[in-house]
Amino acid sequence: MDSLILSREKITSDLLPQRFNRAGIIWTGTLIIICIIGAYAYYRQLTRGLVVTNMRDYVSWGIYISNFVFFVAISLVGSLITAVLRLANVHWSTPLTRIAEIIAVSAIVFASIIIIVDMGRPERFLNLFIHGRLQSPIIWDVVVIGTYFFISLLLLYFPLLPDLKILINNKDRSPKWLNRVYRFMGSFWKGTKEQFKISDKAITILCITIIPVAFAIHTVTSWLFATTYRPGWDSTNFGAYFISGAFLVGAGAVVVAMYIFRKAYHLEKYITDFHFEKMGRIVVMLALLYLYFNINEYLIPAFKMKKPEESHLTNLFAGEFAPLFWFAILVGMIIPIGIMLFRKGRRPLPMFIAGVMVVVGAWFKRYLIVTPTLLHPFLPMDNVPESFRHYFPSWEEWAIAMGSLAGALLVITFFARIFPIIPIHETIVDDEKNV
Amino acid sequence: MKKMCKIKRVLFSLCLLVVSHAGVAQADSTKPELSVTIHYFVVNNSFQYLLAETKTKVDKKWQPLKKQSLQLYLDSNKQENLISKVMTDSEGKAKAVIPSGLKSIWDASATHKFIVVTEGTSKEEETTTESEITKAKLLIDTSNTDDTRTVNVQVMKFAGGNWEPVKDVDVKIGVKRLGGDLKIGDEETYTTDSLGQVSGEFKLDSLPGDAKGNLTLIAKVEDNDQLGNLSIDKTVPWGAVNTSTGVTDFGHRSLWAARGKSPVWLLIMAYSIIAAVWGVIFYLVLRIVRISKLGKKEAQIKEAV
Amino acid sequence: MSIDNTTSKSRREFIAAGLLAGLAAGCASKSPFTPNDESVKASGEMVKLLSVDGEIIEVDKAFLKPVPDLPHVSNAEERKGIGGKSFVMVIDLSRCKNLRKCQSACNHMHNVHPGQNWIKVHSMQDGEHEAPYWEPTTCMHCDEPPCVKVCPVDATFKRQDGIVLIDNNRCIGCRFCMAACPYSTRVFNWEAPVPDSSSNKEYSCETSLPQKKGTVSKCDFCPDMTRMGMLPHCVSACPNGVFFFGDMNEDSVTNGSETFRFSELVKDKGGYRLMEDLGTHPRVYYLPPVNRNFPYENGLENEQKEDY
Repeated sequence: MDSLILSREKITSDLLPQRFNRAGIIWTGTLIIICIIGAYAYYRQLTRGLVVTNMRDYVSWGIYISNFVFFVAISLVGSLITAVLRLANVHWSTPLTRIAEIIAVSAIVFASIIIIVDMGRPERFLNLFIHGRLQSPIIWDVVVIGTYFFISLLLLYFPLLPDLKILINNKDRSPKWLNRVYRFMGSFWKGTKEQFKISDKAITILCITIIPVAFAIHTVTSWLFATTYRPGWDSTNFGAYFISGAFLVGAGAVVVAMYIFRKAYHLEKYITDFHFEKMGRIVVMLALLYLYFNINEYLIPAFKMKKPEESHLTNLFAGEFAPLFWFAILVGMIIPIGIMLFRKGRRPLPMFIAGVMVVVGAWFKRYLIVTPTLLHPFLPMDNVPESFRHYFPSWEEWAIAMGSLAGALLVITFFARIFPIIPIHETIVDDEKNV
Repeated sequence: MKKMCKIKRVLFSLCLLVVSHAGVAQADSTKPELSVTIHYFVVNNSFQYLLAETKTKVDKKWQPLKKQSLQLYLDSNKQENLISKVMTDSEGKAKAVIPSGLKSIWDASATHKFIVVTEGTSKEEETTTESEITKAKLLIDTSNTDDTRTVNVQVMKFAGGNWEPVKDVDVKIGVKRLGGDLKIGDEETYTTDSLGQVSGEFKLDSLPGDAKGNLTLIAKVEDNDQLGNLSIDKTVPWGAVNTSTGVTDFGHRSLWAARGKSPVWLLIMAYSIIAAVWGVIFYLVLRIVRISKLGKKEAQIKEAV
Repeated sequence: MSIDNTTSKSRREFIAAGLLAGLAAGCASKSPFTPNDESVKASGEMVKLLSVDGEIIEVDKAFLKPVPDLPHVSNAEERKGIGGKSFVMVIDLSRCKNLRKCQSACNHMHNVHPGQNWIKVHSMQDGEHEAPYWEPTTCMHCDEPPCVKVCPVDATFKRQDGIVLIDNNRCIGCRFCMAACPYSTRVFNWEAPVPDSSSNKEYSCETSLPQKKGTVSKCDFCPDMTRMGMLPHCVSACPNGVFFFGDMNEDSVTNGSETFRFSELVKDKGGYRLMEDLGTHPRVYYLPPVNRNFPYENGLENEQKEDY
């Protein structure tokens, strides 16, 4: 690892939040436009009902739900990068912890938003709390998501405290209103030994606690499918299968974010080739693990070809969904593995491409988990209009789904504008340790 | 007497034929075909009522004629013989009881005619349908000898001031159940002999009754040309004692029970996990408060210096 | 055997007294017009009628209404169900000709959205060399209902009379129950329901009316009809008598014209339930399509009529 023989001032100056340049403004502007289109589409949905989507009685869950699963999956990255690596006393991951945490928090917020969008009666949301049944996997999901959100927020906040002090001290770098926000959030942080002692201990406790909660969050989400009888969902494998997929897509998302922030804010000295090398090794291992679970999930039922699963699996391997299925497998797992197995493939640009492939492949993979099963019910699809026998999302669904993704990216973008995306204080501490 | 009855029956059927043809003749190609039938019911030898049913042919299919105004008369079309004015419901049916004011007309004869007049509208002309019945009653009795349980029913009609048995009447004997009557033996119907009697063996062993083991037997004459529809019921202690209250595990704790009835293992697991994790979160929030207090203390010390 | 046929004074008095008292003991109904339960309240206003013997009898006006005013059933009572009953349905596949009268009656009486059906009539052929047949499916009202297990807000619930009902005032429209049901029996109101006579009435779980946008609905075994002692609409509508409905506690099912002892019917004809191996314990039994009333092909004439 290159030891950064840089002064404190240089590190601070490099890592403080920077104003948007032209690219940043175009990026933010595009995201806002996408969000507005999504909001309009949702307004149409609220007034007319869910009929504006193309979901019907058989495919009663569509891309809102697959988007929900995708968001929950990505949110696990917080526990992986931040918690697991911290507990393992790995220091190269320090620059990445805040990126991971903000991706996690943003994803979990938009998971909740997209699930409310999917509800037929969102104004009755409070029924979940007033009349909630503990026996229902949805209630388990609500509890776990809420819990994970608060833990991730705390895991974002504690390491932010020393950086808030730095931000307050450099108040000429930020507008007045932001300085007020910083002071409100952490002016009580003085950096005394006692404060650090409490904070460090708190962070360790959080890291330990977040791991089982993170496992729970995606296992419970997988149980939304595994507690039904349907072919493709009736699998004992689902908890582990979903979690391994979640770690993979989360790590892929971090790689993409690393590359973009590095380029946008000129952070080459902090997010180095070494980081990409290390992340590459992690991602390739996770991809191989996920491939292993996929083989279990698809090959074994295909060996048996039980009647309800026969048409579903044939459809996936060689039928209507075959192009999408093989795309998700190749682009989501196999090609990135191919890229990252080689040292040359673990350089920043190839890593970025592999990361994008992993994330895009994962999005389509989640769609393949949700929709094809619903098109193969036990009893034939009779006495229904033709539109009930197929599913392709309507423009409103696309707009809302893209709007939610844009919204999540917007939250991350604004966060990086307001707070240092790489922990300043911890970078300084690590750097001084190396000298 | 019997000859008179026979002639009456023939005349009555001829009457019906004429009336129906008249009805058909009245309906030319522009007017929809109308069918009006009237049925007479007697329950437990006292309560009697009439059921009028109207249908109209639309596109070669018979549909019930809803909201049709009907006038029901006893024996003749005169105003003082009006039984009731009714409106058909969504199934084209209307029920009416015979008011006590017609007692003198009713008592005057053993046979009566019921007349239905449909009110004329711009689309349809007024039509008249008739049906004749003879006053009748059912008598039911049961016996239990040598483990064989029998139900005996007698059909009597009122003729010449006396009650006479009626031959060749189809009687159904059953046990009253939800929505229908379960036949007591193998026969669908029993036909009365010259004494107007039928006898059926009760073969339903251990049929669930009520909480005391009682069943309600019912004997019916259905759509008899002369007598109309008659029924009579009787309670017998021939059923099995039944204290079932529906689904046996209603209200028990289970995965499909209501909100407050989750299984205990689930309650324990869920609440202990939630308590543990949220306890940690709460503790950490308190730590932030502690850090905040330390900071403020530090600031005070610095100021003092 | 001789039976007294008198019109004596004592008999007259007995009848009058009996009817006034409401004929409670032993007799099932107060008059043929009223439902078989005690829920219709006497109004106090009496009507004088003529009995067949020429006797004048008095009956409370409330009992003579052709469609009686049933008392309002509270939500708590709707969630509990009708006491002492255990509803069951038997569908005779040897009689079904795909006429779909059951479907149209049910859709009409429950204002089901055009294009959707609570009752589906499937064209089934279990295996290559096995006989094709028509199979109507309703909600199975399972004794271990997967839909009830997963509902997060208690909007669908199991009652003591065996019926699984939906409370459309509680439903949040998450559609988890639709995913969980292996019989795919539930439909969803994707848009506002077509306005009809029920639209302005107060919502009742037992009639499932009025329909509500953004909530789920399904066959409810017509508890409003069974409270009145009448049969569900599909049972009455089928011209071939395919549907038999009854109470397991009475061990009897009827299609309106024929009544059978339930335990004997299922035993004699080899009745079975759908997807028994999933462990849902459904309450709808099927009688196998043997000794068919019509060949399968007769049902094909109706197939073109579906479409939207």
